[in-house]
Amino acid sequence: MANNWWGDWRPSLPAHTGNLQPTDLIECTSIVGGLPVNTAITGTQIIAAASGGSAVWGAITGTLSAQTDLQTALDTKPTNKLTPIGTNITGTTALSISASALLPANTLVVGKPCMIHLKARGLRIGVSALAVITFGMYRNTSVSTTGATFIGSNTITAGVKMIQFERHLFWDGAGKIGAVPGATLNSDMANNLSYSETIINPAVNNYFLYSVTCANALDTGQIQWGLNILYA
Amino acid sequence: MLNTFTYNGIEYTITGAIEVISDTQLHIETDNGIILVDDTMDIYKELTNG
Repeated sequence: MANNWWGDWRPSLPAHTGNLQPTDLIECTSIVGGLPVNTAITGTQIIAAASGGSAVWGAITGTLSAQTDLQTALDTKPTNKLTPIGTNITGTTALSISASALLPANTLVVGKPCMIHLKARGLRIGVSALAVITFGMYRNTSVSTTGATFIGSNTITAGVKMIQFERHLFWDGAGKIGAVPGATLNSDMANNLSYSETIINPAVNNYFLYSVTCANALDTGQIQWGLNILYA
Repeated sequence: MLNTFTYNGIEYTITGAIEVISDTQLHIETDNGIILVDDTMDIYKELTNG
């Protein structure tokens, strides 16, 4: 194998130290016909020629579903890819689900407290300006109001077309959700509200349910929702 | 009258008000939050004598 030379021994040139940098110059000397021939190559040339080449931002080679770690992480994200517009509820005075948001199993991580921000707006659909419609938030382990835990609500009264409300839930990182107890409020962002905790099982799917209750079965209500999970 | 019930493996103790939400639904204040109870649950029948 032929000998390759690396480096420069002339004291007039600054010596290279530390890791290879794109601006480094590396002197290679070959003996051609009994005479030394010098060639300077740059750090950039070596980096570009290294195995794998340079990174391409915005493109991951391979199949996304084969990226198991990444896919697992994506699967734990809330379903904000679903449409946030609920179905119209009409023809009943029973509390009914207009929309739901999945909180996948193990999204809430033991030992990792976080805040869950729920926000929604309720709409009166149709022309009945006298409609009285209550919009609610619940959580349950299925898309069912049966046995659901009440989070909060707000009510539009005659002449009102739309109402907005929000709630903040605090996952304690152990097994409970803390919140202002269910009540009719625009927002729980207020001073000196009472606070209580309820049990939640983070190892199973949980759902946030957005409900509509029409005082008159002829009225129509719809809820639109948002969900955000803020980790510490 | 019963003051406890179990649903989905959680035992609830009724601690406060019972509010009628609709012809078939109640809000019941318990030691684990306000629970929506409907006419498919035994506790609903107990409370309403239905």
